[in-house]
Amino acid sequence: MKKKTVAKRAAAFMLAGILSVGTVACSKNTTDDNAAGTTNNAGGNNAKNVELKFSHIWGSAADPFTPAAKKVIDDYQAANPNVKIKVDTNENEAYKTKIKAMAAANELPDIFSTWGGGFSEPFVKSNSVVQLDSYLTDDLKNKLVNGALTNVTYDGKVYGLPFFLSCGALFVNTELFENNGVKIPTTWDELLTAVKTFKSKGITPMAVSGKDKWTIAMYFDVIALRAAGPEKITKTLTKQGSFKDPEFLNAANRFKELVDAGAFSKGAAGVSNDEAEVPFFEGKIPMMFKGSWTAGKAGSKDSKVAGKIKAISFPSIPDGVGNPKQFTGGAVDAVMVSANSKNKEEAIKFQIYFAENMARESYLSGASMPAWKTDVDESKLNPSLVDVVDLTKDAESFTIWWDTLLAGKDTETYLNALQELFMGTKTPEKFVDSLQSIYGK
Amino acid sequence: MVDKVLGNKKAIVFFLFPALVVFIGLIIIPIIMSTYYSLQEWSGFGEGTFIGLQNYKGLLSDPIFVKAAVNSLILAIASVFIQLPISLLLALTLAKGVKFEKSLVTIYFVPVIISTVVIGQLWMKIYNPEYGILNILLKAIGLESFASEWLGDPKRALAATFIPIIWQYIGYHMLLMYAGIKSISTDIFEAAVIDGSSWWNTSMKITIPMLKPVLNVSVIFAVTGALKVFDLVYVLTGGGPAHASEVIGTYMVSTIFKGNQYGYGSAMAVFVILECFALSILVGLLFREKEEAK
Repeated sequence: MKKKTVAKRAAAFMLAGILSVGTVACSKNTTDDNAAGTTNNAGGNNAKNVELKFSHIWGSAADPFTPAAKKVIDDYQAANPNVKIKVDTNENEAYKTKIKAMAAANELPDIFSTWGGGFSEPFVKSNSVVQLDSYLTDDLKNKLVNGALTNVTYDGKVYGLPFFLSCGALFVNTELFENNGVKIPTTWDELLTAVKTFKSKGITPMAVSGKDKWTIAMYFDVIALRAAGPEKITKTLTKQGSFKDPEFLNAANRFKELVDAGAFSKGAAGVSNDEAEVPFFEGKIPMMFKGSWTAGKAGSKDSKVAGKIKAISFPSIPDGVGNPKQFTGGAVDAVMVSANSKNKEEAIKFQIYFAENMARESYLSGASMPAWKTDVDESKLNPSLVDVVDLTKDAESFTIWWDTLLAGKDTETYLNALQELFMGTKTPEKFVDSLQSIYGK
Repeated sequence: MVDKVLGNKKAIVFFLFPALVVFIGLIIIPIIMSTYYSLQEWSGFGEGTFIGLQNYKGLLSDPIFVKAAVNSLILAIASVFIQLPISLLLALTLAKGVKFEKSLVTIYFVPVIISTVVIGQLWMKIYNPEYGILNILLKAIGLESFASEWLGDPKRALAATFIPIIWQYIGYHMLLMYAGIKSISTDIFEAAVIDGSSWWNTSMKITIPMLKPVLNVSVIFAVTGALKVFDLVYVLTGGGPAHASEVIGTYMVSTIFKGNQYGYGSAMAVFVILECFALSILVGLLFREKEEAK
């Protein structure tokens, strides 16, 4: 606390020095300045006070990333007393709407959290964000894990910095499986058996929210990956193939098979993600396929299922060419700097610092896997997360979520069609036709 | 003094000018801008391309939009024929002079003041298929077969979404009408009582006819409000499941902000503006015809 005020005073004094009001500087402050000179590493010329506006999505108390983000921001401000970071947070879905509106109105904050792939494509196309290639030294690039920049690279140029590696995994509640005498599934048939067994005991087998459609996509993306394999998925999504290929129909049929077996609660379509997750985290639902951040929630201090949740890979499906060593996900979450920022250099400095440190802090807090190479003591980590890290140690590939890779309108087409497949109002054949409509008429 | 000021053209212009500037800046210009965007294919970022009336043609052949427009109209009809009669009955009963009249007026008005998101969360909990009070109640009185996943069932989602919307604004219209009844001269009611007219007869023959102007306003508010509805639907279902409860407002937002189709979404906005305009005129005409028929 005291250090902060001293630093503040020092900064204020330096500012006074720059403004060359030396004549009125009182002698008592001079000694303060000399004492604090060591804590303030900014040179006299750089100590221009700047305020950076930073919008991001880690604000809710339940979010395991919230403390990590706060710590990184506070640390940076402590180390750079001349920089003040004004934070503004929103819930995930609301944030997406807001940031797009801000971009459209040319009012983007200096730095903001976003998602790679299709989501940020309009920002890049309209030159709303800073291109980073000239700032990325080889040293910096070597700190990132392989493929971390894939989703923030557009036309061969980098526009954002990622920090997490997220991947989809099937989270199972081992206690529920044991108590009900169900085997943790390693094959498609075992998965269906598990679903039917739980269902017959009056337990909803899998958690999903039909209202927040991306949670349905979590399941479908991985089934499609098992059906078609990573190369075909990427090719087809980037409009160099066809959804009419039998693999996609197989995926849709398998997904329907899962729905028809009673994997999801009947009311799922009207329940939001927050509501849908509650029973899983209360230990009432045995399975949920979601991103690795789930491990962070499951292993957090006040979690009712701490130590009972194990992450496994989704099993292969019949007639599928994919295998359980292929994962959905990748490094998607990123921070970008607005091209209109008045303090571009400062913002980029902070962006690099934030990405690297956020990667470490959120790994330490057990919230997610880092997209940066970090040295941390793994023994202290959240065991559910270590599970996921172990799972992905020999991963063959990461295939980005469909709703991230596809651009806005196509994402809507996919998610709406998927919701209808989920509800049973679209047949698998009709669903595949809808997907094909992404290719235009 | 007042007459002098009102007779002075300069003074009129002077006093009306600020309001005019606000009106043009906040209402007229955005409408013109929306119309301009609606003639373009524009993602909301960078430059758009001019495509004329293509967006409007697209609207009419877009089954989801047609469904959303029909749903909005259903809400407008439900507002006029379900919500307003309830409001009117409440207003008449309260104005008659019941115990705790003032407190009751306040209580009925509360839902109007509460944030829509709070109301949405409240009803979400009521409707929740697992622990919602509605299903629990149905089970408790032995009507388990009627219990369902209200917001998740495409057949029921629309009705389940509209009920809270209608419920929320009952108090609003009730207050308008209540104030209207209170402003009718008491002499008339006294005369009616002396002539031995029953409360029902008085309401039908005196109060409601004298309330015509207020009812006219209420109907216009209810209709345009229903066409513009967005917030509660967005919170409760987001327009789902599978577009079952889609209204123009929710479809417009997902088109613009999720689908990045600014031009197409603006065409919907213009459509809503025109629709509100047309229906307001129609309601006004209907009321005037009735006036003349007398």
